[in-house]
Amino acid sequence: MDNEYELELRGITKRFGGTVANHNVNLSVKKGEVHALVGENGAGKSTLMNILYGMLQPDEGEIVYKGKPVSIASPRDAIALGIGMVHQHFMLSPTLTVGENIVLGHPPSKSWRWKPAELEKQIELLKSDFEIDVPLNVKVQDLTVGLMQRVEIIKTLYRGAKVIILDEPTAVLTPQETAGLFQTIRKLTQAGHTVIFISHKLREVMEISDRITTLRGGKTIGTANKCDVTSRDVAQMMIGREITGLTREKSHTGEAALLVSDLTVAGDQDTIEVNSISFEVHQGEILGVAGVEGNGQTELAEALVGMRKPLSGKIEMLGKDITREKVGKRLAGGMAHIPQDRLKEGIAAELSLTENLIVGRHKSQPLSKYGVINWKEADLVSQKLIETYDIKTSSAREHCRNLSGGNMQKVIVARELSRGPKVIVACQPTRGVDIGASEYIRQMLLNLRDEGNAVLLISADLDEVMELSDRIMVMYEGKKSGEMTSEEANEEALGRMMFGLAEEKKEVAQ
Amino acid sequence: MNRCWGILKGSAKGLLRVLLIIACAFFINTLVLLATGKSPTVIYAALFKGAFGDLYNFARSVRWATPLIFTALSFAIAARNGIFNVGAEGQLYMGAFAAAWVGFTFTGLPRFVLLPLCILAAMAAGMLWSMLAGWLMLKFHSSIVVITLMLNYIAILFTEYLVRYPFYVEGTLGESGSTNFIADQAKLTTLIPKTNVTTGIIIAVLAAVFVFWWNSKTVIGYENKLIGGNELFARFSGIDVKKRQMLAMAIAGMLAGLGGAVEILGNYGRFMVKFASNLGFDGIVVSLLAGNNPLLVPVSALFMGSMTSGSISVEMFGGVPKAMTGILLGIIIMIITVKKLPELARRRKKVGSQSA
Repeated sequence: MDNEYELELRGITKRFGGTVANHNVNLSVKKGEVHALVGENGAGKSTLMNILYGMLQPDEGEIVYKGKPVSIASPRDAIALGIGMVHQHFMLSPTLTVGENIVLGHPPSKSWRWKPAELEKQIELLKSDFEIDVPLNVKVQDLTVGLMQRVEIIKTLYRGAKVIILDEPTAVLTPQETAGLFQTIRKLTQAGHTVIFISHKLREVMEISDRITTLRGGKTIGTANKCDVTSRDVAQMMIGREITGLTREKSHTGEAALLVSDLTVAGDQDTIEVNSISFEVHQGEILGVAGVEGNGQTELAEALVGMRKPLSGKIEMLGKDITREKVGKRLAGGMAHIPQDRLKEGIAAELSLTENLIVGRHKSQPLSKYGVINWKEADLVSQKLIETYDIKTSSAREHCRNLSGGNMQKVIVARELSRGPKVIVACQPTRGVDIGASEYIRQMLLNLRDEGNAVLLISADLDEVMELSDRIMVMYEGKKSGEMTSEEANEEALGRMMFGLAEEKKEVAQ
Repeated sequence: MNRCWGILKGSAKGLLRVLLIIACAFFINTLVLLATGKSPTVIYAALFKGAFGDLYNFARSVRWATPLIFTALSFAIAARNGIFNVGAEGQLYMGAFAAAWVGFTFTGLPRFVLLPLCILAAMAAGMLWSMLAGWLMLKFHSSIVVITLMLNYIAILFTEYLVRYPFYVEGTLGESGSTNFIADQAKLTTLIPKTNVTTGIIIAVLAAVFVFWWNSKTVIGYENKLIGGNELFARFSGIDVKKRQMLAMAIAGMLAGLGGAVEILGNYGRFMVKFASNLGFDGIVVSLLAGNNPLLVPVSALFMGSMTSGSISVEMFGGVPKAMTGILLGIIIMIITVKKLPELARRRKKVGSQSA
């Protein structure tokens, strides 16, 4: 019976201080299958994979590979056994070429001489076997994210991996790139390789995997054949309760609350990042901004909030020209902002929850009078926000850095959305947040829209954009490459626009 | 009520930390003394007696603690904004000269006008000097450490120039390197007779309480903390960071200038060239030792003052050069920087568990 499985992790337990990250976790992977490992953030997926890849040592339990118990003390051991991992954050050196990155630490020949021809021969073989195309002599920094991922996959294959762990591989990809990745995965399994696919995007899991193992709270909930379950079942296993789904009624749009005309914004390197863009967000409407990251969304958001001076163009909020107004005035005028990088822009990690929650309302009564803060009142306010937004913390005095990512995001959402904003600029509001909290944050955005406020939702998560938005605008290289209502929208059309292909297609059609 | 208790508890914890650091420093210093064949008991007894042995020794410790309280507060209030301001020394010189100038120029004014005028002039001078540094930092994005450090030299040499040329007076023994004496009614009242302990210490403690209140109770103090905690976040929250940092620099300069005034009006009675060796830099050590907590600044300043005060008798009765206290301070600075280690360790563990 044992031989049925290529790789087994049995009874793995791993503790970090007082918290148990993995508790008696079992995972059995068959040869040649795509095995999805799903679970919310903090469910213990990464810990388990880091144990398998030799980056962490388990406190209890054993790893059985090809029927034999093995001990994996370091990634080097894992690689020697034939286990490779593609990390979520690529482990590539940007200034080296693709070829150099692939052989780094594993030279192509025993000789001390650098033999590019030999390397090329070896990699050519891999490339044709799996139909993965990468240019070898280009520096990694000049590649797209999708290509970088291919380099990572080739790297593991080059090192002789038979079992490949992909840690949230689709998080950074466009739909088209994802399709390409899935094709590669299928080629790999046809050739007898085994893939462990970590994700919490259910749609993708249902598409690519053969079997699914769910983790929750550090424990194995179960393993199922994909054909036996629906994505709803898997979601339920992940969060441990029925997901309610979002209630999204028809929108009642009013006047334009945010009016942007011909806005041009420069980036940090003085390059044009937002190129003469115009759009409007109406009251009671969510306008989703889709696009591959780095196509001007960040600069657009910063210009709207007032952190970045536009080169030209006009921004109007609630009928008032705010192009030259400072951040504080815009916020006081009814804008709220959920920044995309919460640790850098959204909270002060060394300060307490109270100190983080009262920002923006600390200057007015009842929190302060004559420039003196009433901390008793502040504690009351933050206590109420902690309860309303279900922020999990031991006390309002706790330092923010002790919160989990999802709860940090809730702190930001609570602070921004409870001020009664009229225009909300939300950037990646649920990035890295687990399903339960994501659902909650999305519902909050929908509620604000239903109350007649305008929401601009900038997100790299296409599912999120499609689920929430009334209209979707796609950005490509700083320009609006397309716009459609959510009824018209489908992934393929959006994906084309994200690559700037919509226009070309039109030309061909003509 | 609850919060007050929390603050007191925090301060008690901080006090424990201060005492622990000092104890560690003494322990290491003991090893140094033993290695060089000296008797630690004799030397420490001399040090303690020199610092707290009798009323006069204690008064000398207090006298040296007083200016350090001001320079430490000056450092602490800028540090809260994330500004590493090492310019207290220069601001103190500018303040001291301004106080002296008012004191020996408007000798006809009555006490209740002249004394406040001296103090205000000192605060204004210190403030302008620190705001110059702040302006350079914010306008040209230059390093505040370098600017304030260089402005220190300029201030010290500029006041020397003022003394030697525009305000030159002939001293009894050739060049005195001093200005005229200030009017008697401009001097601070002596608290302990026949010592240098003046009402300056009261002003210093009041300043510490004020800074504490300012930091923990006011809107601006809170915004300062936000800026120090995460400047980008503060900007995203609509706080005018430049304005707040400029204000913090201004207050820092006022405090340092006030320290200069207390030195002149309380002790010297005139401005002397290079009178205050290292008061600014020792103030940084005092503030770091106190963990930048204004309520603990007087405590750690008293420790530093007693080191200065006791070092003389260490040399006289202990047979060790008074540079020994310099070694002690060096060890303290090292321990303060090492103090961050447990914090770092905690953070690393956090990162480990987060990736789980």
